[in-house]
Amino acid sequence: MNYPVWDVPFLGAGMVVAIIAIIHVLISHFAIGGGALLFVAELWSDRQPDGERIREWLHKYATFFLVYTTVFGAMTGVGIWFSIQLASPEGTSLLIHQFVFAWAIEWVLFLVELTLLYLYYYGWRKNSRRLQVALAGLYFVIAWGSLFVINGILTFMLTPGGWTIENRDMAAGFFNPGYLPSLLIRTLVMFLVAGLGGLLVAARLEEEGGLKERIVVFCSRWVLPAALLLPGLSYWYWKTLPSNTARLMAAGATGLGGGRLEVMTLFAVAAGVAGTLLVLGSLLYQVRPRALGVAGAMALFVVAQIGFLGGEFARELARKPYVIYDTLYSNSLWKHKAAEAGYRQQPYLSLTRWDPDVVPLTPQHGEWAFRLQCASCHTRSGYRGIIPRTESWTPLSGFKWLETMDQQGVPPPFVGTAEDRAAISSYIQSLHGKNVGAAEILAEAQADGRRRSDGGETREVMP
Amino acid sequence: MNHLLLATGLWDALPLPPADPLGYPIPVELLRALAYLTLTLHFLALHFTLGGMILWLWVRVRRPTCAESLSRYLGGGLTLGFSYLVTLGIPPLLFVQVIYGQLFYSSSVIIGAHWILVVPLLIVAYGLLYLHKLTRVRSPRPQWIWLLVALLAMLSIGFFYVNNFTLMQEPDQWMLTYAMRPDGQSLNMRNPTVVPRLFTFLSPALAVAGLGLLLAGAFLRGRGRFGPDDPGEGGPDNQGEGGPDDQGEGGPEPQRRVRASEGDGGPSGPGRGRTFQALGLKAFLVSLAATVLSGAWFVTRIPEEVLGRLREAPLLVPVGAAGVALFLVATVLVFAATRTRSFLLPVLATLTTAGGLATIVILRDLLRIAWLEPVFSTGRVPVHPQWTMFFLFLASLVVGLALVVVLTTVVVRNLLTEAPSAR
Repeated sequence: MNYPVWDVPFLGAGMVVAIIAIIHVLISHFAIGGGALLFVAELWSDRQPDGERIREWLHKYATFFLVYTTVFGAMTGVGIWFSIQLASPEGTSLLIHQFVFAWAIEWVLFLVELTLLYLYYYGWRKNSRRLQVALAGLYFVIAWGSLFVINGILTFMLTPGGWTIENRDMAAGFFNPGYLPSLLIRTLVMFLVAGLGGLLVAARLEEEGGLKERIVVFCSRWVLPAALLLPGLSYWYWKTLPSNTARLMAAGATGLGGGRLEVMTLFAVAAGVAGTLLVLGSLLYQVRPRALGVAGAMALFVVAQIGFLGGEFARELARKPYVIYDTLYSNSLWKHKAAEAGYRQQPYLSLTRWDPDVVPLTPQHGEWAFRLQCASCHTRSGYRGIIPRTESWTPLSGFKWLETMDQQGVPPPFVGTAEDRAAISSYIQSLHGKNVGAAEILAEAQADGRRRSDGGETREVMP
Repeated sequence: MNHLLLATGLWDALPLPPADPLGYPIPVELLRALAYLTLTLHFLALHFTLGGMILWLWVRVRRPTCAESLSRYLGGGLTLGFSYLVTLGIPPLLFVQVIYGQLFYSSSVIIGAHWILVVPLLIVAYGLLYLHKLTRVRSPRPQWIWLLVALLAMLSIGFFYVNNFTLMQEPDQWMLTYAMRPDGQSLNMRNPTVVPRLFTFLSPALAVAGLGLLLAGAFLRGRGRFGPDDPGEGGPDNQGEGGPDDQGEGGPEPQRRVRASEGDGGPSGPGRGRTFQALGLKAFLVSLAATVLSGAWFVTRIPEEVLGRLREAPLLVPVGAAGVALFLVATVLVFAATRTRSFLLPVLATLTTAGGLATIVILRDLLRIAWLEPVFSTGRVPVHPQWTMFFLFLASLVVGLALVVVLTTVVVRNLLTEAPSAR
C-alpha cells in the first residue's frame, strides 16, 4: 500500500523472486550438507587403504563445491534480497526491522564459513591432515549455524506463532511452531543434496580397483536419513501449518476446491514425487554402483531441482493471502488496517498515493488501481495472469466479485470504493478487448442493486 | 525544485512511505556506525578487486618489467577479492534498509528492472573471474577478454548502485519517474551528480590495489618469493596461483612453455619487489589524483541548496579535515614504503587509506542527510531496542573474526613454508 508496485510484464515480480530463490535454495542446502560430506569423507579416507585416491576425488568435489556454491549460491543469495525488496518492500521492511541482528549474525556466520572454505581449499596441499579435517568440520558447524538462523526468519513468515506487530516478540517469532520441523527437514535434505553432488563428481571416475563403487556407495548413503525420516517430519510440519493453509491444500488434493488452488497442491505433490524418485535412484546406485553415469547423476540433480521447485512454491503459496501470516497481506495491505472501520471503503488511490493523479472512472483509474492493488500477485497474461482467470467475467460479475474476493481464501480483502471496483472491472474488460466504461458498470450495478432491493433481497451490493 | 516544493507545502503530497512500524532496533547513531564500518570494509575489498582488474589489464597491454609476476599476483587475488567484496557488501545494504528503508525500497522499485540486473551481472563477473583463474594455465584463450567483460559488468553494477542511491534522495522525482515506466525500466539520469559520484567512488580503486602491490613488494624484497609455489620471474610459469585448482584433473600439471622474454633473465626476488613497489606507488598517486579531481567535480554538481544544508552539518569540517590529513599521511607513508622491505610502512599506509575511505563514507552519508533534510529525518523514527540481539551480534562478530584471524594465520604460514606437503 505504501510502496510502488514493480509491474513486471508476463513474469510478475513474484516469479522473479521464485526463479532466483529456487536456484539458490538447492545450492544453499548443498553448501551446508556438502561441508558435512567433506568432513566425513576426510575421516573415511583415512581409514581406506587408498585414501590418497579418495582425496583426489574429494578434491574434485571440493572444486565443484567451491565454484558452484560461491559463484551461484552466494550471488543468488544476495539476489533473493534484491528481488524480495522489489516484490514486497513492505514485507521485506518488516522482516529486516524485526530480524536485523539475526540477519547480521547470519552474515558473520557466512563470512566465517566462506573463509573456512577458502582455507580448506587453498591449503589443500600444505595443511596437515588434522587441520584439514578440523577445517571441514568447523565449516559444516558454522554453515549449519547459518541455517539455524535463516530458518527462523523463513518459518516466521508462514507460522509467526506468538509474535504480533504489537508485541514484537522476537523469540516467539523466531522459534515459531514451524521452526523445529523445518530445521530438521532442511538438515536431512541438505545431506541428501550433498550425496547427489558426490554422485555427480563420482560419475566421471574411471573404474579402477573398485574405487568408484566404494565412492558411489558412500555418497548414496547420504540419502538414507531423508528417506527414512522425511515422511514423519513432513507430517509434523503439516500439523504446524495454519488451519486455512491446511484446508486449502487438502481441498486442492481432493478436488473440492474447484481447481482454484490446485497449483499449490501440485507443487507439494511434485516435491513428494521428486523426493521418492531421489531415494529410489540413490538406492539403485547403492545396489548397482557401476550403473552410475554422468547422465544418471545429472538426472538426479535435475529431479532434486524439481523437488525444490515444488517444495518452495508450495511453501510460498501456503502463505496466501498473506506475505507475513495473519499480519500483512500479499499486496502489502496490513491486516489490522483492513480491520479498521471504514478503512476499506476509502478511495484506494488516495490511500496509496502512487498514481499520477488519475481522474476517477477513466481507463487510467482502473489501470492504476489494478496495478497497485492486484499486480503484486497477478500479471495480465503471464504468470497468474488475470486474463485467463476472468474469461467468464461480465462487467457486473467482475464488479461484484471484487467486493467479496477475500472469501475465496486466496486473495486479500478488496480496498476501495464502488468507483474503484467499477474502474478495475472496466480495465479487465479492456484487457479482453471489450470497451465498457467504468461509469457504465457503476450505473448497471446501481440498477442491479435497486432491482435486488425491490425483489426483497437483503444483501446490498453497493456500499 | 526542493525550494519550490517546500514553499508550496507540496512535500506532504509526495508518495513518501511512512517509517516501518517496528522502528529502529538500536539508536540510529549506532546503526550509522555499523553502516560506516562495514561499508568501508566493502569499499576496501571492492577497490582492491576493481583496481587489481584494471592493473592486470594494464600489465597485459603494456608488458612492463616483471609482467608475468605482476599478472600472476594481481590475477591470483581477484576471485577472493570479489567474493569478499560481495560478502562485505551485505551488512551495509542491511543497515541502509534499516535506516532508510522507505526511501531505499521506493527507489529500488522505480528502477527495478535495472536494479535486479545487478544479480546476473554479479554472477557473470564472478563466473568470468573464475574462468579467468581456472583456464589461465591450460587454455590459450585470451584471458583479457574474460577480465574485460567482468570489469564492464562491475562498472555497470556501480552505475546502477549510484542511480539507486541518488534517486532515493529525491522523493520529488519518484512519481514522475514511476508513472513513465511502472515496469522499472527507468534510470535516474536527471540528477547531475550521478556520473561524477560514480567516478568519485570508483577512483580509489587503483590506490587500494597499489597498496596491495606495496605489501607484496615488501614481502618479495624480504623473502625473494611468495612461497615454494612461486617460480619467480625466471622460473617456469606453470604453478598457477598456488591453489590446487591449477592441478588439472588430479594428475600432473600440463607444462606450458614460457617465452624467453617472459621468463628468462627476469629480475631477482628483491628486484621484483622493487618493481612491485614502484608500480604500487604510481597506481596510488594516479588514483589519488583521480579521486581529488572527480570529488571536486562531484561537489560542483551538488545543488546549492543542498550544499548550504551540508555546510551546516557539525561533522562536516572535522570529518573532511580528517580525510585530507589521512590521505596526506597515507601518501607520505606510501612514498616511504617504496624504499624499504619493512612491512610496517605499507601496513600503516593501508590503515590510513582505510581511514581516509571511512571519511568519504561518512561524508557521503552527511550529504544524504542534507539532501533529505526537508522530507525525512531519522530523529522522527521511534526506537524499539533489541539490545540482547545487538550484543549477540557483537559477540558473534568478535568470536567469528578471532576465528578467522587465527586460522588464516595458521594456513597462510603453511602456504608460505618451504617444507614439503604435510598431506
